[in-house]
Amino acid sequence: MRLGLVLSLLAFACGGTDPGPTSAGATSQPLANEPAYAALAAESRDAVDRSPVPVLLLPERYAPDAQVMAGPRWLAIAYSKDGLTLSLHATDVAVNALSEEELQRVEPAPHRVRGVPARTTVNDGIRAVTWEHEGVAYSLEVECADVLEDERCAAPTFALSLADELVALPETFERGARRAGGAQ
Amino acid sequence: MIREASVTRDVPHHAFDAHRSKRDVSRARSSNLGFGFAVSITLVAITLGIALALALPGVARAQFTYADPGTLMAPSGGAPRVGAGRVDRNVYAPGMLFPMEGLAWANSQIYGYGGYMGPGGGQCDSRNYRYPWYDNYCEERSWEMPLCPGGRGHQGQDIRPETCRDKAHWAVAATDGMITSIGTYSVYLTADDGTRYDYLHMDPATLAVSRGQRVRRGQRLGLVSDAFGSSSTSIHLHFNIRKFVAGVGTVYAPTYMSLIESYREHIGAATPDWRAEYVNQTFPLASRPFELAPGEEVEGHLEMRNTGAQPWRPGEVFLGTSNPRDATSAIASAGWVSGNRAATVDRVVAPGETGRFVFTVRAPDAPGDYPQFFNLLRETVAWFSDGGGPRDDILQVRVTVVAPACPAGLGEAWACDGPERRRCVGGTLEREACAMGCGDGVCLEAPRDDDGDGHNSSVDCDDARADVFPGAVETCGDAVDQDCDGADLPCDGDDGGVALADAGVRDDAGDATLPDDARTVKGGCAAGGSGAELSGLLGLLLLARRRRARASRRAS
Repeated sequence: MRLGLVLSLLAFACGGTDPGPTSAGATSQPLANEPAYAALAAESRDAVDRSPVPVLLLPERYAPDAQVMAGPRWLAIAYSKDGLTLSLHATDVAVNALSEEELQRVEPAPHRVRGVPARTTVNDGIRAVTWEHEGVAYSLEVECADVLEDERCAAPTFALSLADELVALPETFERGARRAGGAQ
Repeated sequence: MIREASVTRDVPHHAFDAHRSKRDVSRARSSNLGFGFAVSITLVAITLGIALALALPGVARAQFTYADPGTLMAPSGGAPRVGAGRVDRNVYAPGMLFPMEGLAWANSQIYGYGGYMGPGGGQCDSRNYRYPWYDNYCEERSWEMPLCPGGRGHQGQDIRPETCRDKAHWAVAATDGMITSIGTYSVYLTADDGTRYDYLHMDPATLAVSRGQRVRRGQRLGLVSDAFGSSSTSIHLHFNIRKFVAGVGTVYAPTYMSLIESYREHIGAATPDWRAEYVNQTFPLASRPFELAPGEEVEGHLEMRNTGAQPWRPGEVFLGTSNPRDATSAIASAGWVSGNRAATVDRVVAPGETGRFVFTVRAPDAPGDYPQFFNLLRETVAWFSDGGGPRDDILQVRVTVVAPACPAGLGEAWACDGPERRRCVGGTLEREACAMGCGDGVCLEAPRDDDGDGHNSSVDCDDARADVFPGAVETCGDAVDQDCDGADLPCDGDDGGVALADAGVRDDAGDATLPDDARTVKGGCAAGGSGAELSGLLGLLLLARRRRARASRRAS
């Protein structure tokens, strides 16, 4: 309880950020009390703790069957059940592959999730939503066993709403900010 | 235009045994038989494999060709579409391992044989299993893709395995990493640097990995199949490279060049001596109109990158006509090296550098369509299509000659217009240059000198007589205007009467001479009875003048 209070105070004192002022699913709860976190398996919670980038979790209802994995420069969350596969990928490693001229020609992202511009696409039937937040690129993929009929893959609606529903963990965002500050 | 020669010979299935990658040789060591027997069998297999490989040296290596990035296959077997996809030569995954065992064929699943927009046949058509590779990143799809022309297209690369057999060929880990997702028909491998490699359509029942498992580079992941959830697709591996591209976000990055580089390493392909890759051109692409008026000339250039092992030198590497090779081109201009050699490279171009071929095309006089294929060659040594590319039917300048419209009032009859003549036939303007000028709709002919006297018909008043020309010696009274001044020269004392027919003779040289008696000018140098009468009259006139003169002296 004391730990939770201290964490909350730290979150407010350090100005912990959510990925977007209007995002649903943002939590101010201590990490340990966040249902979407608490419902994860122990290994997944460890991965959250080790994540090098700010963490967004799948909503609580997916947590018992979700798996969180973390690498040196990435975070991944996977869920696969009843013909639905969800994959969240986050990394802060960017490549500068486009010239200034081409960057100017790139169309602006037409959607918004979590208060920031977002793009959607399809890749061999797999719906994807992508957005950035403070130097981290997030990608959420939705794959359906029933490629042709499942509405969750037939349109980007489900993927966009799920992206908004992801649960941000402020502590991990603060950790990311501290890391960025230290790097400077 | 562009790119890559192909050896259209199919690679026979047994070539797999002869050209196994190093990974395959190492796996051959495992066996379900007794250890000693297994080792013996394995050693025999390895020896045979090596022997076969040595006996057919570099078959797969020498044959590997690929179209330029961004060159897409076309519907119904049409000509490849250069630049229709994304022209991106970045290797987004440098150092990655080719993600499949054995030989592989990267091409379109929809425009290839058996594809719903292909030239017919089935997916196992042997023509799907041969080089050259074709890019299919940004192939037509409705998928949003900010890196594709038009903002939409296929993402990733479709790759057919060595043969059309289902669940017979392994997909392998392109790098060390972790399996971060397994879906109904997808497997994601995430590398330590955050790059994700997606493998789609493997057989889910025989996957060799599990979610959360760390894998090593080259480790088998699953068997290439046609899995597509509740549906199915063709037997192929759909391979993605998922990257965070600055300014765009996480995208399915262009995969083609990473696959090419890794495949070359995979099969041990040696760099051909003579090979080129399209860079750009100033002439319109063959798919776009390039209309010229008859005789019109346009200068442009083609830039090619040296992707071979040898440098290009001016006077050695040329842009020649191809398909067929060495044919004299209808669009050649006077500036070409020859009728079938448009240009040589502009400078010494080392491997990896880009050279330019500058040349002028001339529109033929007759309206029509004039496609001309080109290719590079090292003169007397090799055409680039024989070594590594491009193919002879890729580089093209396509001129469409359009006759200008007829001006108002011009009919079918020729009419002069300055130094040329024109007419309008069937709504098409016809023009003809007149070297000697135009008169009354007719091109004037060049003056001739038929008599060879050094003066042509424009000045020679009698081009049939060599003694008649301006400045010639005039013979008086012969009724011939030798000097072309407009009249015969009258002899001395001539009363101005009409010159009569010459009574003179010609000497042995053909020169006219007057008879001795004609010099006395008898009524215009005429001979005959009338001359006597005129002489008497002249004598009376002289006598009369003498008498008046004496009378005048007496009076003074």
